[in-house]
Amino acid sequence: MIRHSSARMKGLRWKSILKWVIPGLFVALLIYLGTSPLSMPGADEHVGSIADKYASEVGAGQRPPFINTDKGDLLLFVFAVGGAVAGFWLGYNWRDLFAKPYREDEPGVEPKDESEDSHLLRNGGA
Amino acid sequence: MEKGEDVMHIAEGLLPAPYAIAYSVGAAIFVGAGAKSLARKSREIPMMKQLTGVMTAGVFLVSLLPIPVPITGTCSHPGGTPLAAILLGPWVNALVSMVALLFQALFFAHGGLTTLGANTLTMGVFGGFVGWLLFKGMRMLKMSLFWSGLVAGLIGDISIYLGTSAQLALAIHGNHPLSEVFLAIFGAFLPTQAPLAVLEGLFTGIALKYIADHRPDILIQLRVLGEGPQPKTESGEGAK
Repeated sequence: MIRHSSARMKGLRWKSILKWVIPGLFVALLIYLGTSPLSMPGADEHVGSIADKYASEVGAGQRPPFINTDKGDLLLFVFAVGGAVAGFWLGYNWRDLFAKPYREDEPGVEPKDESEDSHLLRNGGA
Repeated sequence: MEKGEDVMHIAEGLLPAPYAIAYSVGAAIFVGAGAKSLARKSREIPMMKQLTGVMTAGVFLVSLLPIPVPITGTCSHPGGTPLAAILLGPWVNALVSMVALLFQALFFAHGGLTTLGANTLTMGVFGGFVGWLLFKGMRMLKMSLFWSGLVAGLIGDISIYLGTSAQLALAIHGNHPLSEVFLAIFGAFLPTQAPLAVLEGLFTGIALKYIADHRPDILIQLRVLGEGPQPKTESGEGAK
């Protein structure tokens, strides 16, 4: 019993440490990336240039998209709007689905069997 | 942002027409089956449509998000489809991926309409089916929910890029040996994608564990967890 609660305390201590360490590491990484001279291009810029070389030999090759939003800062704006809309949609529905506690009377959830034991427990064992 | 910087799926025009059509037909079969599966599951599971919406938004966001990999000095994105396939089933996941990729192709200069079928096949079908099969296999071997999700997410992510490399190599190898083009493309993806695959694996495992801790009944309804004594406490002791 004592060993069990001591392990539980240790687990909680680790959790509270990680709660600060993970955001701290994330902020440190952002500061490093923001101040380093790395340009961080997309991996497909590299892959695209390789694929484009072979594609041009068979008469294909990258071309601008049908609706080209890659004009100045327009793409940044579209990314911000798209990210915000999808993020709010995701967050709102995630909370609705997963954050509310489990209810037995929820539509589609089969109610538990009313066994004699549960009936007795509910009535204080009488 | 310069041209090509954000093109993380197969870009518009990169595939010759016969291959673009063939990949689109292949993807359409899976998307059609996904629509049928969604209609059937929506009748059985009340929250199925809402969950499909959530996963579509999730796949859209995750596969649009450039994550920097400082080791290689480049950035790329996870797929998100292994988790979607585990929760919704691999067929519905193909439909989810197609919708997410369509929006990206139309408004985000990300992928393309002629390559929509090819990108749906890789992200939705390869990534989804590989992740789902691995998850089921790991669960049959009595692995915990977290570790099953981790392996499914990790290998599922890598399989997306294996699929992309194979598709491109088949379509554009021309007079070059198929293996040469495949290795050149996959070799360019791998250094950036491998750390992100680990991240995707962790994300998949943690997300499944979170849901099992908070709403195990949802996982039972989706048949991710078998019916039994698993849903027990907030700590998820029963839902291993």
